[in-house]
Amino acid sequence: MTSCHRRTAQAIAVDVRAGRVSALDICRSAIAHIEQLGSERSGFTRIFEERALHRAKAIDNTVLAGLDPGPLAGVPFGVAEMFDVAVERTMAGAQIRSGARLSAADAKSIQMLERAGAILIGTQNMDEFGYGFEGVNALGGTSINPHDEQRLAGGACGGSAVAVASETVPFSLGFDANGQLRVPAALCGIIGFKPTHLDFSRQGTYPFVPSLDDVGPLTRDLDDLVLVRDVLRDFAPEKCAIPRGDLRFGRFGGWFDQNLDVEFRTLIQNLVSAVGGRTTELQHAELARAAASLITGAEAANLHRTMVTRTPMGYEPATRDRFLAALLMPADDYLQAKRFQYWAGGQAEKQFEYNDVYIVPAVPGSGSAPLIEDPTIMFDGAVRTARSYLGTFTQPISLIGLPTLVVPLVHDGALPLGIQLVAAPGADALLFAAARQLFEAGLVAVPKLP
Amino acid sequence: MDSAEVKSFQKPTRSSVRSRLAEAGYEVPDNCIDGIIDNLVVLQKHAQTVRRLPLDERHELAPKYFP
Repeated sequence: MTSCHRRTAQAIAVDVRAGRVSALDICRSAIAHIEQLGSERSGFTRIFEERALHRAKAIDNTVLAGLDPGPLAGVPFGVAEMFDVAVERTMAGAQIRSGARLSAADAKSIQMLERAGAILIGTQNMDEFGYGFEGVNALGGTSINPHDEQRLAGGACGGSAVAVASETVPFSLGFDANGQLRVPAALCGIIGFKPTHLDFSRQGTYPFVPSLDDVGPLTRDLDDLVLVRDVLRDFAPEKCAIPRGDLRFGRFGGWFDQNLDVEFRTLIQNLVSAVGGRTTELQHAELARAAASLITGAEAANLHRTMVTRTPMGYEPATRDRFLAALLMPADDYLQAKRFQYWAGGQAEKQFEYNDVYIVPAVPGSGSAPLIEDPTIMFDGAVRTARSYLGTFTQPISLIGLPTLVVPLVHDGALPLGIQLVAAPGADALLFAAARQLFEAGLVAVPKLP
Repeated sequence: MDSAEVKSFQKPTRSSVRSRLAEAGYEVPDNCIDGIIDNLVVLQKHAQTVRRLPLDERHELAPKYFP
């Protein structure tokens, strides 16, 4: 195994396009790394070696012919098990889908990335059907945090975060309805991006919560993320302009300050002070979290009603019991939650009249990953399951459909701490400008592996 | 936004959950009941929170369930 695959996507693509390194060597090296680490430490559940090497040869032949294979030439990547891969089964992390039909085609996002020269090498572990924040799965095992093997990587897209953090691939593609990619990005010390709702195609992904689902990338490098985003948007023009003057940072206090350890809160306050930000409140954040939970339960349970009532024991107990409980809730509560979601979405613009980008903790408590042996966190003065409560600070943001970028905070501790940068709908580009400013100031950085 | 008065929920029991499942036409093994109750209690708390939204038919929110 070489380390040629452990660089940024851009560095790999530049060398492949110049013929200095072959896409075949990059892919072989990445696959050897995954095999050496094993499934739980690499994040990968399946490797499509034949497909990947075939594709890598095609990229190398394109270069030999003097043609341009694209801006992501030879860059290996993985996807959460939620994405369709042609002639493979979309498992969605669920044993019950082991008899499902094979997919007829790749998900649209995979097609777009491969058209730009990237190479899909495998699928990655996730909580069953995306329902959970731990990254633990009866089928794919536990996604192990590369910064501390005693700790969870977080979920649902735990495998996708582990794959990037452990440097097996420069980027992964995950999904996010409530924090499914933001939580593991924060706990594993990498960058995760949830776009403005529906800015990326969801075609060919297994649905979880149709009114909240989004696709999003995880990377170790901000420029890689911008490039992957450009490809996923087919280089469409931005929907907002970057302000000429300084970006105006703010911080959501109030509800987001509760259930936050003093040390983590102080670190965030110091960061906001360093960029001259002011503290305000996200209106009705608690209500937004409650609405997100009700919508998630109702829509996910509805999608699974036939299967979970016909074969309840085919599901993992935690998923099954959540679905069955949600089926017993009155429709009125779902409609009430939807009503609030629509109202809050309409109010979102007002929140950004005085600030361009808000800084919000990514997870509650200490902000760091819970232990695998004891997957709990403190919330409202009680011990709660990490599976349900790690997403407390991500849920209100996605309910409103706001674009969010998770970046790792610079601090003295051993474990990564992630913060969310939040912008107005359509103002995704501001997040990258804000993150660049924080990276250049040394306030955020992707931590090295121990 | 105004706030509506919300009454507290009654905690589901094993027998009430069994009845509700049967009334809804779902046959579920008995060993699922405790897990369903735990999750129902969580959802009830969330429902209690969102029911604070007023239901006045002339309220700005009233007709807007979906975009």
